[in-house]
Amino acid sequence: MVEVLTTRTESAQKAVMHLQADSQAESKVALKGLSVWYGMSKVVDDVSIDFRRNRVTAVMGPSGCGKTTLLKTLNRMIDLVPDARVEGEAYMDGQNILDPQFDVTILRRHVGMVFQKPNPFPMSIYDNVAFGPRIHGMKKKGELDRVVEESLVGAGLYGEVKDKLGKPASSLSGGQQQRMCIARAIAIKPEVLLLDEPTSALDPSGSLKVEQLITTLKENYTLVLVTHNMQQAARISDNTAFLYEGRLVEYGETGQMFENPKEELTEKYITGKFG
Amino acid sequence: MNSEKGLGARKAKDWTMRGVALALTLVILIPLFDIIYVVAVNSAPALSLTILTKTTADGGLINAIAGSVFLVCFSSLLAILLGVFSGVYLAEFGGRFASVVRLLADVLTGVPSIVVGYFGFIVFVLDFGWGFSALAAALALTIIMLPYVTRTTEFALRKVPSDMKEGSFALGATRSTTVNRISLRYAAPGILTGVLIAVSISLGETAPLIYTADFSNYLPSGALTHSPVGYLTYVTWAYISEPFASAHQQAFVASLILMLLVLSIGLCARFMVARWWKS
Repeated sequence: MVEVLTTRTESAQKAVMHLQADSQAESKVALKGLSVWYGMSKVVDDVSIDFRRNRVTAVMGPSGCGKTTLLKTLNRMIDLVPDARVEGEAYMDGQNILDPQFDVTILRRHVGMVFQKPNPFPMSIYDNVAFGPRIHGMKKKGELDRVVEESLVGAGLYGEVKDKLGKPASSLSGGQQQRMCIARAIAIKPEVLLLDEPTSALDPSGSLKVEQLITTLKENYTLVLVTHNMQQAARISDNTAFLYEGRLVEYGETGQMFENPKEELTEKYITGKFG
Repeated sequence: MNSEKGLGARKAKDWTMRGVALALTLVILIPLFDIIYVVAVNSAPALSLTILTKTTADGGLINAIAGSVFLVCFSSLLAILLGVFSGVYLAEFGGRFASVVRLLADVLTGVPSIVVGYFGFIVFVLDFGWGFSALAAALALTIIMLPYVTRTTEFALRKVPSDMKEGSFALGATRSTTVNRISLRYAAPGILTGVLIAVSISLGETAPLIYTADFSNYLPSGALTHSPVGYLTYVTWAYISEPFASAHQQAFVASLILMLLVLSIGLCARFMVARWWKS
C-alpha cells in the first residue's frame, strides 16, 4: 500500500514537472487523468487539460458530455454529489486540490464559481457582494465598502447599482443579477473563475455584457468557461477543449481549432453535423 | 362553432360542480359563524373593564389572561429553541437517525393532549417534585408544540432552492454558515408560520394544563415551581358547568378573548410574512 502511494506521488510529481515545462510557466490548473463516476456510469473519462493563467479556456461539447461535471471538480463542488467518485489529479500551482486533505473552504476561496442561472441570495445587493468577504472574516465597514465597490466596478455593474446597494438583489434584471453574481465571486479575490454556461439564462443584451466582462476579467483571473454555444467559445475564449461522451477529443488554441480542427469529430461538431 | 356536440352538457356539468363546491363551503361556514355568534351574544353583557382589573374570584379574568399569556410565551420560547434546531438537524445534517426522529415527531403530533398532560403530571409534577406549576405546564405545552415547529422548520428548509445553497458553498461557506446566513433567512417566513400555528394550538389547549398547572384564582406568582397557574381555557371548561349565570358569562368571555388572541396572531403572521416577502 505504502509502495503504491509512493509510486503514485512520484509519478504525480513527474507529471507536474512535465506540465510546468510544457506550458512555459503559464499553467494555473492542470488536470491529470481525471475520471468521474456517478454511481456506475463514467461521465468524465481520463481527461488531462492544462488551464493557462490569464486565459479564457472554453470547455464545449454537447449536453451530457461531462463539461459541467469537469468544472465542478475544479472547486470540489462535486463533493456535494452523494454518489460521485473522482479519480486522477488536479494541480493548482503544484498542489493536488483533489487530495481529500486539501481543505475545500480554502480551495473555494481561490476558485470562484458563477452558475448557469443567476442565484442571488435573499438579501440586498451590498450584502450579496459582501457575503464572501464576511464569511472569511472581514468585519470592518470601511474595508467591506471598498471591496463591494471594487467588485461591482470589476463586474461592470457599479454605475447601474451604486444608488441602490440596499435594495434586494432580486430587483435586478437577469443580466444584472448574473453580473452581480460575478461581482460576488470576485469579491473574495479568487485566482480562478469557473463559469458554468453563464449566459444561457440571459437575453441577448445581457449575454453581450457578460461576454464583454469575461474578456476583461482575464487580465486578473484564469477563467474556465463551460458553454454549449460554439459561437460564444469562438468569440471570447483563447483556448478550447472539446469534450464528447466524457472524453477530451481535442484541446488547443481556439482560432486554430475552429479554422483547422485536427480531429474529425471536432470538425463534425463545429460544422453542426451533430450535437 | 358554437353548436359543437355535447357543449351544453359539459357546461351544465361545470356549473353543477361549481354549485356543489360553493354549497358545501357555505355548509362548513355555518358552524363557524354559529360559534362566533353564540360566544359574542353570551359574553356581551359581561364585557367591561372588570375583566381586566379583577381576578376570577371577583368576576374578572386578569389572572387567567396573564397565566395563559405567560405559559404560552414560556413554552413558545422553549419550543422555538428546540424545534428550530431539531428542524435544522433533520433538514440539513440528519442521516438515518433523522428518519427515526421524523417518525417520532409525527407520532407525537397524534398523541392525545390529555396523555401529554398525564405524562407531565407523573414526570414533572410528581417525579421531579415541581408540584402544580408554571414550569410543568410550560413543558407540557412545549411537548405539544414541538412537532409542529420541528416539522415546519424542516419543510421550510427543504424548500430553499439548492442553487442558492450551492452559491454559498462555492464562496467557501461551510454547511453551518450556509444554514445560518442563507437557508434560515430564506425559510424564515415558513418557520414563522409554523411557530404561530403552534402558538395558536397551545393557546387553545386545556388537557395538558389540567394536570400540570392546576388552576389559581391569583395572578401568576412568578415562581416557576410549586405555584399553580390560572389560564383561560380552564375558565371556559370549568365555569360553564357552574350553577351561576355570572360564571357562565366569565366562561364565554374567556372564549371570546381566546378567539381574539388566535385571530390577532393569525393576522400578525399574515402581515409579517407579507412584509418579509416584500423586502
